[in-house]
Amino acid sequence: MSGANATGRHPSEDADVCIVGGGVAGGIVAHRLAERDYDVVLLEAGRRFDRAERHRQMEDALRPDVGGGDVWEMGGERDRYTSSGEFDYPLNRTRVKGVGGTTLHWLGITPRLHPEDFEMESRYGLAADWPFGYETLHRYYARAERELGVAGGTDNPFAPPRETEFPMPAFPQSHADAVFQAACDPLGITLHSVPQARNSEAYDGRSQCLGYSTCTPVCPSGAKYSGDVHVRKAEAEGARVIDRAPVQWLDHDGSGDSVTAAVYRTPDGDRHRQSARQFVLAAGAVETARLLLLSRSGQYPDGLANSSGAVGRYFMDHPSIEATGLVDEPPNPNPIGFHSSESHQFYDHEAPGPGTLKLEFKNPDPVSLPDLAVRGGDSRTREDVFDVAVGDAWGDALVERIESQMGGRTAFTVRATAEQLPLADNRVGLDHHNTDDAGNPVPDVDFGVGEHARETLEFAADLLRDIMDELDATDVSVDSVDDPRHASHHMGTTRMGEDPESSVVDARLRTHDLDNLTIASSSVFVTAGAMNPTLTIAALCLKAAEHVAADL
Amino acid sequence: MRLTRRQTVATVLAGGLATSAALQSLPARGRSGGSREADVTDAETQSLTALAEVVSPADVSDPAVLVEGYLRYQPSDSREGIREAIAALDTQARRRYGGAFATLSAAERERLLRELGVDRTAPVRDGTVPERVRYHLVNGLLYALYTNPAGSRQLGVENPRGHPGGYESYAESPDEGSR
Repeated sequence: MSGANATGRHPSEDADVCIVGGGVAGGIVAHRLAERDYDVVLLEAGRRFDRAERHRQMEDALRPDVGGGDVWEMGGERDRYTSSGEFDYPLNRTRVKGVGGTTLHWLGITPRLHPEDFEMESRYGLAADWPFGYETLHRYYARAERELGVAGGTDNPFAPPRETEFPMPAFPQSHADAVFQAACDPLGITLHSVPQARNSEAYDGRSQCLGYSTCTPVCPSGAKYSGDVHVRKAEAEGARVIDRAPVQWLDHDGSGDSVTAAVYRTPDGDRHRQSARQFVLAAGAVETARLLLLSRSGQYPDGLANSSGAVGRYFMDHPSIEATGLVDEPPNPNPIGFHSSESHQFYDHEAPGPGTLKLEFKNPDPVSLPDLAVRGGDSRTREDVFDVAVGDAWGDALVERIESQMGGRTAFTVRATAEQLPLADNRVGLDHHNTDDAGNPVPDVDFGVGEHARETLEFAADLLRDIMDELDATDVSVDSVDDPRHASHHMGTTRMGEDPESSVVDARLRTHDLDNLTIASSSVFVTAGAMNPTLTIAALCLKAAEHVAADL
Repeated sequence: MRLTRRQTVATVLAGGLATSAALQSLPARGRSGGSREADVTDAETQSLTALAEVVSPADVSDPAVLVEGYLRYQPSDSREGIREAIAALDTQARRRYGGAFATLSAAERERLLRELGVDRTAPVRDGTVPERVRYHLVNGLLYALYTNPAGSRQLGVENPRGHPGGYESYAESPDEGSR
């Protein structure tokens, strides 16, 4: 019964909850509250992507001759940003706006954080502790694994404690995984399976993985979980979803204690006010912080819920480096879009020095054939129109040309992903000199890696070189620690804590400043570990939904 | 050389699998959208199949399966581009060889494409006739071919990227491959 009491993009009357953001976080909170019969309105800045579009998106992604940029349509005026820090942060390659959010293009890796990640200050004197520990999140983690549908194994000797089986069996190891393990044995490095939100068997009404091998950027089968799964479930329970409705700011009451409305813009340029009893921000660590900063008022001159000054600060990602070398082994016989082995061995550390990291062992796939076959634009001049030696080949000649390009040694890649500590100077702010399509200041990402992560990456680079040596790899290249990759894991910016002086939300994920404003996002992470954040986001959202329900 | 009977069956089965998987993943609205196949007429499908016979290796025995699979998920704007490119190609075929593209011999079809410069021009969605024939028809068919076992098998890949041949195939040892 979606659209129960309003039509089109007009606001709902008598909404219990207004959720900003339709990704995995907003979807889960919306579903949990709608199934308890609360009247939920979800506002999403991006559009709906119909599942019927995904084959076309896959073609666009695989064909080298299709221009037009990102298949999820990121990068227009709506998505303008500034990167002003030590690194040019490629923000729009690391996020998606749309019903489903960034999980529309994620890889789907879903480890839990480790117990020590919640206690970095008390254990190691680093950063800050979370206001609760792993044991508090434990049951939410188990529930989150069921909600997303996680395939995983119990072969990981470094994994945090768990009491329940994964919902689905792990994906099998590949030929290349055995090659990697043989190289890692002399180094004492243990590989293991990877928990991932991808169906290894039919689950939750979605098929098992069909092997399209295009997980990033698009899974046409729906076997990879994405946030639109929970948005659809929420709608089935009566939640109302308004897409293409970016929220411009939040209004509060005269006392400054409560949010009264979310003001959103519709494609026709009109503005609307959505009132509700409770508000939940679930727009990721960049847009959530930006929205609070855009919502400044006389009472909150530095931004809503920002009496601590922490909004936008402590932005984190996972800096990563890769090593690639040519190995005298064939590629896997068939491609797959994900990796099937990791090592979390370098996660548990008691000694000071380099921080936590994890290793990902990439599956060396056969070359993507459209890259070789789909051509055009051979503009060499020919002397007569029947000269077939010039021009692009097709038919049998194309097969012969591609065969001549195949063979030889295979590129094997290992990636190391490092923990980054929360640094106050790494921040998402507003760039008042540049505006988006609605005239709002764009987000400014001021981002550097910091000494701790740098030291960790240097340690990782040595480790990667050792693995390449054991693989007898040639033509080895290792990313520079001065210019690392980023894992597209936006965290921090509205950190959680007991102290309103130094944090934005409390252990209930409710802002210290406003009593009906909850933040359900990786923006509340106090520390980042080296693990992919989405399962932790889901677990936190399940917890936050309980608290919001209690307040209703 | 033609496909062996076993290979032909495998190709058809793979096409069938792709069909059923694609339909399963489509919501009801998308499925009813399949009626848009009527947008492309039988005559146009014949032209496209005739082109597929030229750009496919000789070992691929039934390009019509590829053509049907490719057209099935194209949104209406892409179908329109495909239709217009086919119409332009047929016009050129009539002008130079006196008949629609599908009625020409394989050698004539090949020659017409090269006379138009389709082998040299860049693919452009909204470009000139050869650019559009390259983009919408030749490259679209090459994409369909090499994301399908019928084409990828020529190069030793049983379950290519873009094809729903099941995830288990990545875990096979290279010795189990088709080489």
